[in-house]
Amino acid sequence: MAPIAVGDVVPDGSISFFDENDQLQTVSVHTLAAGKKVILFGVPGAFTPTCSMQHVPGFIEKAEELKSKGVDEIICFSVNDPFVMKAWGKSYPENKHVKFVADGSGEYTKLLGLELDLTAKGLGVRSRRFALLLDNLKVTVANVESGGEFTVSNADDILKAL
Amino acid sequence: MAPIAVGNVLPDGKIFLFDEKDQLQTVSVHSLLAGKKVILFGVPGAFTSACSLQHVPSFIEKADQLKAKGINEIICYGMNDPYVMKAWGKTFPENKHVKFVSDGSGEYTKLLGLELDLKDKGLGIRTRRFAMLLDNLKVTVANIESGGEFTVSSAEDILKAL
Repeated sequence: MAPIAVGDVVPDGSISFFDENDQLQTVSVHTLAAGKKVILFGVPGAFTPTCSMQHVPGFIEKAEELKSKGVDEIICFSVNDPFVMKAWGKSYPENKHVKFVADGSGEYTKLLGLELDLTAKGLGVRSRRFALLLDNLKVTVANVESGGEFTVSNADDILKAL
Repeated sequence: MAPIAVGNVLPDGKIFLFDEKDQLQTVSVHSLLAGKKVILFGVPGAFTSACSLQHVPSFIEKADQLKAKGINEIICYGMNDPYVMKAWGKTFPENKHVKFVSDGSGEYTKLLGLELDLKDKGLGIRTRRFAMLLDNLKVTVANIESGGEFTVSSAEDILKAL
């Protein structure tokens, strides 16, 4: 699959997460994001340094500003299972708005065309680092890193585009 | 592969762990465990209920007793990646002896013949829950659950066998 790009409609597929009642939900991305302005940002690995110490905190910090500019949802996405994403989300007690969802099987990442082979680090195939701005499922901003580096995919870059 | 059993020599293969200097290491199971009396216990998923609230705590609690009976290493094994295993290990601040290692590639669990299909829980292929006693790589006790239940694979069960 070619990597997702500006102008594309984000593909439909399943992702999972634990809801406010701590129940495991598997939902379609389209159901989650239809009719809304959504930031979907992807990380190679929960509990890895750049993801944990830079990428996620950037979005947690700017969440209020992003919401005041019309963003309805800020979703953190990774090829980790939902139990891990839940635990990782909980490690940010200051987080009020960022939701943590799991592409446990890696299937949705394939649909986005954003696979990153990190087998040598014991991580298997993961997602490239990215930040997308979606408007009713249409990609209006696509800041995709070539791998796991952190140059264009942070919260400030999305803020500039709003 | 048929499931590992008493009398077998543990197969060799690569697993991942973070060492005392917090460096990611890929090690051969044989070089890690040769010449030692080792408990290797396997969990389907880091940060999942039975694994976090029962299985790991039982080994942390009994670690001193097990060591007093001649055990050199107590190793917790899962198919989560090494970053997740490390983060999970840190959620047990009372832990002094249990090491957390990762079958990040999923290959070693196949060699053990202990795969567990948890795709419908968003976990993919994992390891069955188990606890093994190894003496210089030879399996002397193999308490393997059929899935993720927790009936024969606790620290108490291994203690009884020592």
